[in-house]
Amino acid sequence: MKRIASLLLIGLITIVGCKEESISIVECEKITSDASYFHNSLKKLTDVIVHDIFSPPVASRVYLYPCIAAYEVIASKDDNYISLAGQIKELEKIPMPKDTALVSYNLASSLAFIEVGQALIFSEDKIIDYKNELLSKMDSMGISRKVIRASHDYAIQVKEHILEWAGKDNYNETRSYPKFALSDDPSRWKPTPPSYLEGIEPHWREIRTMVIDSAQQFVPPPPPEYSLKKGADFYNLVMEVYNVVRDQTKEQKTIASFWDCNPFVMNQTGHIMYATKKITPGGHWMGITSIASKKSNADLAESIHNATWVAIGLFDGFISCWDEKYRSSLTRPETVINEHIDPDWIPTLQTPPFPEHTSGHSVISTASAVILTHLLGDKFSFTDDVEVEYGLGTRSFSSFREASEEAAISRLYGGIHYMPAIKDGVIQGEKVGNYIIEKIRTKK
Amino acid sequence: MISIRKYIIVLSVLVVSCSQDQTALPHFTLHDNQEIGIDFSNDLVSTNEFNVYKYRNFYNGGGVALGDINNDNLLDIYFVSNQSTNKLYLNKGDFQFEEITESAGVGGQRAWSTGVTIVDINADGWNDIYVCNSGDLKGDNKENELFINNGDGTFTEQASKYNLNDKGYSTHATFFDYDRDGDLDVYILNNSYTAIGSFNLTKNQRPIRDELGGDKLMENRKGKFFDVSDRAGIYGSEIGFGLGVTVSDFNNDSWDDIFISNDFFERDYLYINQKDKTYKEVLTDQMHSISAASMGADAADIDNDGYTDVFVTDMLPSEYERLKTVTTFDDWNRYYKNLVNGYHHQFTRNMLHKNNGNESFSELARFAGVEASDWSWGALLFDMDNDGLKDLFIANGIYRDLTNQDYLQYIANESVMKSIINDDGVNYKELIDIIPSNKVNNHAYLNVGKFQFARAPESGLELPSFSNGSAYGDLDNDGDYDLVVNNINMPSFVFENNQNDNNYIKLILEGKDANLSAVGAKVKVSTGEETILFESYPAKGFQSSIDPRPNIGVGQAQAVDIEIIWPDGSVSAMAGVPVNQTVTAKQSEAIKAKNEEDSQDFIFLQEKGKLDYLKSENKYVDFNRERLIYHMRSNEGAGMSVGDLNGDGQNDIVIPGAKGFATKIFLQSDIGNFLNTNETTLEGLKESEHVNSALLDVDGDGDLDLYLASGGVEHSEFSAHLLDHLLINDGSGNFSLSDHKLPVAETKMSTKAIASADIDGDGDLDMFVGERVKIGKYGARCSGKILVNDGKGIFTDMTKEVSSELDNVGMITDAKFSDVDNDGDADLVICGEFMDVLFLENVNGKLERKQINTDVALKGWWNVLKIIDIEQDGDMDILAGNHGLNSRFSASEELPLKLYYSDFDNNRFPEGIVTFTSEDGKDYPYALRHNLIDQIKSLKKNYPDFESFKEADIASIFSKEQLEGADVSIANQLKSVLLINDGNWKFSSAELPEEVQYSCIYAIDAQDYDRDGDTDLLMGGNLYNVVPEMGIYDASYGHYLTNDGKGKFKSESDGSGFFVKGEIRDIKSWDDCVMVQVSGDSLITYKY
Repeated sequence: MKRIASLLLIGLITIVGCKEESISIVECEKITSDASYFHNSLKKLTDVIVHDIFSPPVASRVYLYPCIAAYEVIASKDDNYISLAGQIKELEKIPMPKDTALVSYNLASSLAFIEVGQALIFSEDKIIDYKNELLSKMDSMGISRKVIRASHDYAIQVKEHILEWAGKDNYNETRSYPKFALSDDPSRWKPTPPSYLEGIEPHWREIRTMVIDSAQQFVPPPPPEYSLKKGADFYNLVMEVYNVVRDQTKEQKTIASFWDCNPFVMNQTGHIMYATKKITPGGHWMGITSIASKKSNADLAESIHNATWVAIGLFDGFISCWDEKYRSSLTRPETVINEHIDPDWIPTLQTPPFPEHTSGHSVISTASAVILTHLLGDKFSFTDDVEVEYGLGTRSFSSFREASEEAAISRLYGGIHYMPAIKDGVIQGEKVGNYIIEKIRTKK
Repeated sequence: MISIRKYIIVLSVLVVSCSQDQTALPHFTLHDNQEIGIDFSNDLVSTNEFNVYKYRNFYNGGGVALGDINNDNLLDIYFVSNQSTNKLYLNKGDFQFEEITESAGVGGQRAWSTGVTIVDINADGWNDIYVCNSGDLKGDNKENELFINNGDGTFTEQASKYNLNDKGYSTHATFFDYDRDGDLDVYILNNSYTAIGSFNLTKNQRPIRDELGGDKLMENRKGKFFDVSDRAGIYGSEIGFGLGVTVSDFNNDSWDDIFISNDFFERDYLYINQKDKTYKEVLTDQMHSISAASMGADAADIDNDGYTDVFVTDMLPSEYERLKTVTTFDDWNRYYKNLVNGYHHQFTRNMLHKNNGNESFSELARFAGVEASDWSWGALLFDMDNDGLKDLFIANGIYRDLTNQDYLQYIANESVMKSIINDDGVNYKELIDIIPSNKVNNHAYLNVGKFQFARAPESGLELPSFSNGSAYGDLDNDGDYDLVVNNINMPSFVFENNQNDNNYIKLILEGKDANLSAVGAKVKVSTGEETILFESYPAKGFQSSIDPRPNIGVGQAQAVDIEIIWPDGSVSAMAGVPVNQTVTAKQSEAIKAKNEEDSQDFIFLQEKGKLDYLKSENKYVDFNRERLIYHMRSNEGAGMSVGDLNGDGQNDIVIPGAKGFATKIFLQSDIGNFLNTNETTLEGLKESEHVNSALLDVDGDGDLDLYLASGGVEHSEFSAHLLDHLLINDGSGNFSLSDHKLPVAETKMSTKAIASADIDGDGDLDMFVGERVKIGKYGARCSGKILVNDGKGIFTDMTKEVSSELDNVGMITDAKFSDVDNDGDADLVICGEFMDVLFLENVNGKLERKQINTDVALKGWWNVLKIIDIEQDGDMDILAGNHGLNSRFSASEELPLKLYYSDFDNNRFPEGIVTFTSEDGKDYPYALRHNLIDQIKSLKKNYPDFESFKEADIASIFSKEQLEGADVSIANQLKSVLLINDGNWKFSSAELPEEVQYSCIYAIDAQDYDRDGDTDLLMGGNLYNVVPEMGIYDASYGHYLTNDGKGKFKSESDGSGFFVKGEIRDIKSWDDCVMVQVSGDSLITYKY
């Protein structure tokens, strides 16, 4: 299948490449500066992430490296942008193309994004089809075969550079680290219904960060001590979740569903099951970033720039958050409520398979909003239609922070987090976001 | 097709059991329905309003009942149709049938019909038909129907008159006389309709009766039925997802017991009749492993030992490709959680519960080769070839592969899903239409004796279909059982049995009072060689009802003795009855049974309180650390030692302790009680997991010193707690820790095997210490160490000097020194997992590998060695305890198990991948796609879905270079073996009783327990810490094997009192005492 597709393409290019006239490199750069090339590629990557069922932290990694590859290509040519090499951990400058004159950097940046993305996802066929469509389209628009080939060659050169660097982030090693061990400690996280999946990514803290010093740079306060004595803080927090779900308004339910962002929800009746899949929290914010870039009429370079910023925030945000999750390893409301308060209680959202404190959505939404505010201002209103294709509606916000605040509180409405995970998660996300803003410079 | 089965075993059994007549393979012919006048097909219409999502038992299908409704001595057939009219076909003889549904008035009026039973409920001499109904979710159109036979070819529905119009989601009903008052009571099996996902498994709902549904026991009081479930102790809760009700007299007290198979998370129930109108539910006491999604079941005496065994169906595929595409298994955590919450040991596979006749069952489906038959509905145990052994038929198939993993994870999503689930709700029809639909062959197995079954495709019964209910009966009265099968969306099957090689005896049982068909009668037919037991209950298998006339195959016997035990306990006996005829027996002519009290003289008598010790195990889950292992190695600790530690002439005992639990030294006083001593010293060592001990005088001062092996996998590979401990005795039983770093100071090893002997003949004891496993690296080769004693208890690692064979030899589990070649010095025998039984000959103080000459494959998963002169002929024989044959793993020389060990993904964490060799010569991984990807992430690229992985063998998964870089270990023998020493390093294997192969053997002890002058054996094992995918090994209760004086062993029934539940890890005997160490349990002591 794969092989046939690429053979076809080579054939196509060979035939078309015989054309006498082809568009100059300048024209080509102009055509491919259309931001939609990037937004479409990002959307395709998101679709494959959904299909392949990546967990939220791993998905943030799949967004990060393609963005950085694309951005570094842009920054290597466009003087408006500063390379991230030397600014983020262990990243070295990308190599120069072999034939500078023939490379379209805009095209190469899109292709670098796709190539790195293809390496990180599993269902390659989907990405390859997309890539081939893009190449044929370039060709059909009359761009010289040499330019396409040189740009693609350069994209592959960049991919190799980026993947070599990415390969040292401890991701491969952590795949074989021990699973999360369960114990009888009632405060300790346990797998939750209906699928009782094991705790995912218990060693994500050991992934190399991008900007923050270490996973432990912004350790949030620990959750309140586990106690089910009436009047104890923890008991009150449990009852708060219980009561909020019981007395839920329609609006609260809508908000909870809108920000669910659970990549794999198992629906089960008897032997019959089917999974519904959605984008991850990170995917949602990458989507918002595209919406904002489009609204601000950002060109290809600026769109990549914005997405790269947010991808870095997501990546470090998840590492920081996951560090705390498996430090406190706190049990979820569903477990506590079922065991001690109401055996039949079911939360509004399906409880995701990892410990409770802090809320990942709160951390990464806030970090993303802080970064987007930094890039686009604090009065940036937008309509979020990212979830429309997953059967959810649109929601409008007057600022990024308004959206991130709603994402954070949605976890209480969903019945999957206690309040401190949300409050402390928001603060943790702010710290991560602000630190990145402080450390990174992308514009001269 | 890739075969996983155990042909080798089957073949060897065929040879052994040639006393049975094996020449006659059963052969059934499928009749053309049109020619015989049958046009039945259970057609389903799935709509957006009513479908498998709305009603989860949508594809469970219907039953079939065989019974004579017009008293012409010909069996008529009643088929249940789920959604349309049920049909009754009158048997006109010679395989000609006529449909008379309408004239008889038995089509049924309800929304959804399920099970059927034909029995003479009102004792008027005419068979009635009871139909169970279900399905109607919102309405109440699901009352059960009772068609009372008017004796003139017509029936009248009278369920409410009898109070049998049950309103639950009924699956089936079985009529029997539970209180022995002479009439037929009924057990109505009701499923529940509450959504599976909505149950909280931590809440025990079992005792809470479901107001509407729930299983019911109803007592017949003068023709009207009354619910007595509560008083009788019958569960009837919302979590009872009953799919099978099986009545049998399991404990041979002539009172009817009940086995209930429950679907989903609820465990099965085993009810024992207390003879006072109540039942006691005893499943968790008597059975270990049970089916997870239990469907239909059957009970019959499979091995002709006089006790009925139970077979229960589940969903495990038998074909490799389906295993890899439609199957997932619970992980350890989920299994453990359910276990803790009272759902018992449930696993996805068929279960064959062998009745041990002593209120215990051993689960033998894997041993018998019948554990996997895909999505199975009904099982029937009946003698297909009249050889006197009951064979097995399984009707299977699901119209939609609801568990197809690609459907669940990939297809049911994306664009398809978007079109199916939209603002208007869910388009269920489309959602269901995209689920793959694949017919599966029904499974027929021939019973070849000793709990071995052989697939019998040549029987003609294995047709691809969606089959549910089935029933056997002699439709043409020619003395063998024919078979009728009800299929979904395809014509039903009517099979004629063509066997005529073997003889039979058919009985017509005339009961009395209000049980005219003598339901519950037991027939015992003796051929001289075998006594065949038949219990007469019409409701059988899945939702179905069989021929009530016992037709008993007797092989080549010409005359038989018949004993009938009637439902009231009275007995009829007939001697020397010629075969191949129908005999009518009347309960009215029976005599009262004699009261026979079995008195048995047991050899072993349990002694309570002799030594109070609880073997505790720390909770450690090996599976968290290694994703591709199937068994834990963290509770192998055993290795008790017995010896006189304080020189008072009494034996004392050392019991090694698991991590966190100190090793104990008990000194025996002269009045026979045991004192816990040396506590302070031992407490200081308790962080080590002591897995073995040895008592030996290391310093030549005349007392026994103590060597403790520190092993397990609970520590880091660098932990000092892995160092072994040497404790020096001061002569009066006080021990002090030597500061020796053992076995070697520089490298830490998880050790287990210890053996001592004077290797170099210098008058002191040297040692062998074996490494069990590399922590976190299952499959890596381990090494043995030779420690040479300087005579003062100072050991030097002289492995290199003494033997070149011990480096990287394998995962060593046991070692023994013994003078195998009778040349006066100590040779070494070692064994291990994925290892040979290795013999090292002592040649002037050097240990040299000796290739022995033997007739048996010896690469095994060995756990234990015992070297002893079995035949008392002056040379040492070898007993080696292995994994056993009751396992989803199987191995032979031709089709071995392999372990490929390498860091395949180059992430510094090597992995061991276990494969089996198929008959196509390729090695296939046991790991399912997601489990393999969980260990080696990058494989997800090569196998984006389950379909792409379903035929992947190891050579296609990994490159040639990768495989060349892998270390491959082999296992080709899983049986425990006895090797008889023929001298000159020649050994011949001697057959052990097959019971020994029912489970893993971890402990062997040998003594003349019965004091008849030869060496007998005690063996034990089991392993519970196993991934649910493979299922725990639990079928052994310990084995007492008596020697016939010539080295031939016989397994004593009931173990002659030696009966131990749990995982036996060590057995030690001395004087007249046997001590048994059971993991996580108290030390058990027997006197003999």
